[in-house]
Amino acid sequence: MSELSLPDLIGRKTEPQVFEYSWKDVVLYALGVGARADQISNIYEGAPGGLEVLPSYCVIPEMGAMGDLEDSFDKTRMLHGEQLIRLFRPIPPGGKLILQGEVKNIFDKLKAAVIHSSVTGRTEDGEKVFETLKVGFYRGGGGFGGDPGPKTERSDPPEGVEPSFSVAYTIPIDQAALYRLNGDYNPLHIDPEFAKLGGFDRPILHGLCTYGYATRAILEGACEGRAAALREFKARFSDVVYPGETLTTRGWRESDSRYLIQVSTERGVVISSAYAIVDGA
Amino acid sequence: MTTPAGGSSEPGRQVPKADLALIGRKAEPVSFEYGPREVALYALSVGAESGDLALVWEKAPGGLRVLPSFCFVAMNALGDQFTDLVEDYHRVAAGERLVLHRPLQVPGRLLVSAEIADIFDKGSFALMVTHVQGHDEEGRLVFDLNSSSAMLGSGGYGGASGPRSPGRRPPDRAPELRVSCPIPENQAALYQLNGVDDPVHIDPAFARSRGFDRPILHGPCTLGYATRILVQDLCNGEPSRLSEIETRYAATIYPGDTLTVEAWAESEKSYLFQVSTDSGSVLSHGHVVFA
Repeated sequence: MSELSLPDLIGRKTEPQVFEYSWKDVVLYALGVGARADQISNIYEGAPGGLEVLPSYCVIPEMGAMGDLEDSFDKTRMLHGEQLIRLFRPIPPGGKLILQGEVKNIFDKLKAAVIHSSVTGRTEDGEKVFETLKVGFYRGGGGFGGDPGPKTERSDPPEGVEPSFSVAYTIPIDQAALYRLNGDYNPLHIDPEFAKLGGFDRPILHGLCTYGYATRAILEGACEGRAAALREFKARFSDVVYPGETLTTRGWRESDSRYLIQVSTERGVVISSAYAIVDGA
Repeated sequence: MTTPAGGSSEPGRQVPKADLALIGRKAEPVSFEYGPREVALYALSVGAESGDLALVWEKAPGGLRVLPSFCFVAMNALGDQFTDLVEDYHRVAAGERLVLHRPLQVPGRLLVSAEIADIFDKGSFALMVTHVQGHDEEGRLVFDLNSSSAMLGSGGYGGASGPRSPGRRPPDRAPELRVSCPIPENQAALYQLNGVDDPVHIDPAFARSRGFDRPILHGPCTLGYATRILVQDLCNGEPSRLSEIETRYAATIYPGDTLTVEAWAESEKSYLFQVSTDSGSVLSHGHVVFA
């Protein structure tokens, strides 16, 4: 494996590449993040008004869009720290998207490097559909004399204030086996032996599966179920989720269009310092 | 035979007598290519659990195994080639008989062909038998699937009634196998991704227009559940040992129902089985043979 020096990667972009998908991929994703049988606009290609793509679907094309820029990293040392999605228009229910990845920044935290990478998705006509920002903690990657970057900001829910919405979903015990078929084949999510080696009792849910459930909860709690109403969702992953646990997504309204978000299981907080921006009603 | 409740778009509409000229009509063969993703998706769509690594994980120790009922996914690849030919009839799925000649490989490619093999006059209905075959790339026969549908109201034209199928009834004793399994509410939506293109399984308005309360589960999905459970519990989870499975559809099943599979040993290698819900039998006259 060629290990480019990390600072050299900052600002590098991939060549634009084509991501092709169909309604089946969109529906598989929706079911992978728990869409219900009665949410037919998310799971039925013939739904009245058309198939609505969950905004968090853009993490699927994002996967792999960094191309060979990712080859410089040993993936087993990479932890997914944060995820942001920003939507400019509804994701088409199939077709082609033109993707471009960019290493936005790499910060030196001595014991780790913090890698900010972004993927932009456009239609073939060049219309911007989404951009994503992923923050990865690269263990053992620090100490290259780079910029330590800003201090991580925290935002916690206001104490003693009831959330504006609270939506709970129980994750079926087999959900990780389904979610992985969206293309994330890390054995951590299916192989009990591998999970044990990683220090987990059993295979864990994909962080981005949790993220998809949270997105559905935000749509339900703050957007009347309309996929097109979510503009932006940023989350920090603070703990793992096991299939079988119940995810509760709470939102505190901060303005017409902004909610502070927190997601927890029975064991505690799993997504923190999160916010969502929705179309103001 | 019992027919599923509901299922009529226009109650009382006139249907023609079965047209025997349909016999021998062939579908355009299709090449069906599949890999681990299709195989694992299928297994999950018939209730495989995440712990059933051999069915859901492409790197499972010993390799990914393909459930024999995956042949229904191969059949789906034919699309709706016969639909236009039979659109005047009121058809409901009646039964299946699947014979495996070789284990399904993964990844794999099958040449899938189909022909309307027979139409029998059963009096109140006509029974249409579609014969589907899958051959591998070397031209070897992998499976034979006889899929039957009842053309309601289209019998009684004085035609041949066909061979009497063995009247297999469960014996009057406790079954050797009894397994219950709840069907998740969104299971039909997942099964639909196996290449089925019928809104009755996903669209509530369409399902109501066909006389159902809500979208119904696919008959072959129920049979897939039964196949998976029979393979896992009666032949050590080794799908390639199943050589034959046959059943009749007795009633409609809804996602959210709990199905119970029961099997009675007939010999060391063959079992009678049935599948039921709280409301009664859904698969009857079941018979499975292991090699």
